[in-house]
Formats: sequence, C-alpha cells, structure tokens
Amino acid sequence: MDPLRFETPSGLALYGAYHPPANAGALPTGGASVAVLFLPPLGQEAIRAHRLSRVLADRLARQGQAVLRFDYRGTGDSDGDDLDADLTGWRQDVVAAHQLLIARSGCSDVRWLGFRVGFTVGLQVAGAWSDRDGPPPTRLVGWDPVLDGPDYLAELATAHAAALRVSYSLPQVPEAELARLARDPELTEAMGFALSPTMVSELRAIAVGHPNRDGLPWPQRTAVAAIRSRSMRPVVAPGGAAGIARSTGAVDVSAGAAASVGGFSIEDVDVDFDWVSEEALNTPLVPDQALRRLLHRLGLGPREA
Amino acid sequence: MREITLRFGDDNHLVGTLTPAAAGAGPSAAPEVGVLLMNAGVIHRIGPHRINVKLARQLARAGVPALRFDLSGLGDSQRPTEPRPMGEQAMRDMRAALDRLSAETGVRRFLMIGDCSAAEYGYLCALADARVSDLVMIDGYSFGNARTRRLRYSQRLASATPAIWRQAMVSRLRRWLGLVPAGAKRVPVDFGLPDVDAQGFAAGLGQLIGRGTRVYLIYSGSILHRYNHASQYTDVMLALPGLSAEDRERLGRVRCDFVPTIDHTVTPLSAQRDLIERICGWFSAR
Repeated sequence: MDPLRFETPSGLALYGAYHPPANAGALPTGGASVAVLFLPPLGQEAIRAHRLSRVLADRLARQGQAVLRFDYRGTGDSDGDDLDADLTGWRQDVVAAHQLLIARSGCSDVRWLGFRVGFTVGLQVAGAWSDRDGPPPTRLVGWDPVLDGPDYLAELATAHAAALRVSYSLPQVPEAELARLARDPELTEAMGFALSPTMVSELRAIAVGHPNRDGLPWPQRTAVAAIRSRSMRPVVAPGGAAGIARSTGAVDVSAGAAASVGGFSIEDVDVDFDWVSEEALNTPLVPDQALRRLLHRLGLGPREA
Repeated sequence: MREITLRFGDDNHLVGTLTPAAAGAGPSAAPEVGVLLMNAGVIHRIGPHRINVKLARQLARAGVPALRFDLSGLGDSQRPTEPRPMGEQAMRDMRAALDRLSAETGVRRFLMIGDCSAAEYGYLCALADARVSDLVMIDGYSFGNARTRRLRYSQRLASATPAIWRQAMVSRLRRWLGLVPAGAKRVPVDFGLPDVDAQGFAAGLGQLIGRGTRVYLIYSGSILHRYNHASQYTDVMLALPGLSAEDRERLGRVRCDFVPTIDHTVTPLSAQRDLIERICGWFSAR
C-alpha cells in the first residue's frame, strides 16, 4: 500500500492510499485489468468504515486489482476543515481520484464502491460524466446507499443524540447540549463533525430515484447496484401503516430478495452493521459477508459468496 | 501549511501525517518541540472525530509541528515482518515516530498527547525516552478513593430512571439466584499494556517531573465511575503511603483537570474546542 497526497484542480491536497495489484508483474499488461475506487461515507461513518475499507482493499489487491482509497476535502487526512466539506467539492474530488487511479494503475476499467453517501456522490458524478474526464466508471456499487436526504439528516440527528447520551456518564451534559442544538434551525453538527449549511442543503436535496426532485441525470454508461444491511431496511408497521423511514429507501423487501429502487437493484444482505458506533469491543468492524457480497456486485467475487 | 504523508519504521511499514509549523508562527524560526499523536483504541490516526487533525493544525498554527501516525497493524500502517509483542512493538513504533519527526523538523523535544490507550502508551514512551518533555494524558490511569465510590453511587441514584432501576434489580436478582452462567463472567481484555497501580503511577510521574517533563492529566465526563471529582488526583496521589516531601512536591506539579463537559471521544464541537484550548493554553504557558 502506498500512501500519497494528490492535488485537485481546486488546489487542495487529498490523502490517498493506493493498493497496487499484488501480481502486477505477472500480468501481460504489467498492471491490473480492473481498478476499484472507494468512495467513503460522511463523518463518523467514515471512521467506522476505515478498517473494513483497508481490509477489502488489501483483499482486492491480493487478487490482482488496483485500489485507491482516499479522503474527500475537509475529511480524514485531507486538506480542509469540517466546514470545507460539501458535496459539490466532493464530486470534484471523486473525478480527481478516478483520474489518479487510472494514471497509477494503467487501467481504464475502473469500478466504484460507495459507502452510504459515498454511493450517492458517485451516482451524481457518474450521471454528469463528461468524456473530458476520461473513461467513465464501469460500475457503481453501494453499501447502505443514502437515497433520501431528509431521512438521512433525521438519522444523523438521531444518531448524534444517541451518541451523546451513550458517551457521557450522566444525562445532564448531553441533555443540555441537545437542548442547545434543538434551538438551531438546521443540523450544525453530527457525531463529532461540523456540517456546513451548504452540506446540509445538499444532503437534503438527495432524492435518488425521483428525477423530478433531485434533477440529476441517471448514469448512462455505469452499471449501478447496491447491498443493504438488515439495520438499514425500512421498518413497516403492522397493517401497512407508515413505519420508520430509512435513508436507504422506502421499499421494503424480505431478506435475500432484490428490490428495484430508482432504476437499480438493492440486495438485502443478512448483515448487521452499525455505521456510527464508537464501540471497539464486541462489535463487528469488518463484516465478512457484506464484503463478499460487495466483491460479487463489483464483478470481482463469486456469486455464491 | 502543507501536510506531508510519511512512511517510516523498521520496515517502512508505519504511516503518518506531518503537519509542519506554520511559516512565521511561534516564538522562534526553528521550533523546539514537536507533537506526537497516535491511535486512540482502534481509531486510525485522525483520532476520534478527527480530533488529532484539529489539534495538530491548531498547534501548527502556533508554531509547533505535529506528527500523527498509526501504530503497527492499525489504520494504514502494516505489521512489521518480524512483529514483537504488542507493547514492545508500540514502543519501537513511537520511538521511530519521534526520530522521524525530529529528522523532518529539527525538533529535539516532544509533546505526546494521547487519549485512552494512547495516553498509556504516551506515558510509557515518556518514561523510556527522555526526549519527551511534555505529556498530556486524556482519560489515562486513574485511581479512586472512598469519596469516588460514594459519588459514583450517589450520581447513579440521582440519574437513575425506572428502566435503569428495573435492569439493576433484575441483574442482581439473577446473580443472587445463580442464574448467571459461569461463562458469562467478564473476561479482562489484554491491550498489551502493563498494569499500573497508584504507587507505580506516582513513581512514574515523580520520575518524569524530576527530569523536567511537564504532565497534564485530563479526565472526561465519560468515566465518572472511576474519576468523578476535581480533587481526586490530589486526594488520592498525595495520600499514598511512603511519599517523601520531594515526591509530594513533584506530584503536586502535575496539572490535572476534571472536565465533565468533555466526553471520552470528544463528541460535541464545543467539547473539541474546549479540549484544544486547554491543551494549547497549557503548552504555551511553558
């Protein structure tokens, strides 16, 4: 794995980790035939996804694929503070990372793996792809994709409140903090990360599968698919009454089935993964079954995985 | 400031990010002290809620370069080809990081800042390496007394909800009736760190203070079961048997803050600002 920093057209330097294919020298092309770009999620979810991203990247590299992980502006080890992060900038970062991966790997078949809102950003970039940007991604695979912005913001607010209540020994401090935050008209922070008004506005506008709402074109040259954890499925109340909405979509499917949501299939996987947990002990950091399903969806692992 | 990604260590297996001192910042052109930050638990080098990045950049603005890095096997760092036992390997990693920070910036002394397990690693490194001139331990070793226990129970009573009462009663009843299976007993987790008791910690702090290392202990509002009042450090440590006047004087020079508005992983932005201000303020008062 080669850690690196790369410049974006905006002048910001982003942190990346390039995993060269293990058997590069043995391949006729001298490099990988397929490269995979990871699109991380937001805030605490990105911290939670770091370990599994590294494990999955190592696994892909061992089987001969090139992988690039990176941090968007205002996140992780990249330039910028929390408030410098917004989806418009992240879309530019994805294009820059894609081009870097092609340059490093010599491979034009680049597939994207998007975690949570990383999928959504990927979908937006692929939908607006210009040939000036080079060959487009051939596939976009999501894990627990964010399809509904307002529901996602509500989830972030709920998770933030839960995180505060768990984190303090006594309730007085978190309750006072939550009361203070409740006076803000918009969400300004979530689980340790500041959210800019631009970011909140862009997140709220997410409405995948509703072209009249988000106004974004659907990717024409990129195959799209996703998997969904058990904990991210919508909860349907008895009698068909409205249940708990989820940012991953309003369609409920039984375990193991595939649902078509917004023009692509979502496969429910029998995996529980808590994207915002801060626990290290007794919690899965790298759920292998999900990783194997993602490999399959990327076209880089067996169907029965 | 342009941050730089570095590789170092026995097998070039460690990954870190250097935040150089901002040009023109600080009291002199050449920084004297550099900062080392590392993993809190399994969180990679950016720290809980990116606090290591925020701290490093704030310190760099004040003229202090900082290196945040991943210990072997954590974050983006690989395991060395011949890994040593966890604690020994961590010590080698930290020394390699200090050497690299020194080589990159010219600093000869170091401030180590650590949260949770990183606090304990930082303490052990400071004991072993006299180049560590300043040490910040957030939710590191703590030792209680009778008042700690009284407060623990009174705070629980004051904040208990009916659900908590019910759970506590059921739990005690099950234990009393012998319904808790033997296998359910808690197994201590081995983090590869030595057990340190109050006497050992006092001796270690005395050694550090005696050689001129400054120490700042911060206890958060997440560990009130083991640290829950402002004078706890003084009450416990200065009351240890067998201390000489010099020992007490040295232990008294440790700064210790009990900050119940900060949580263990520094979640609210207000807590992050508070923590950064406290550390930067303490450091700049040297």
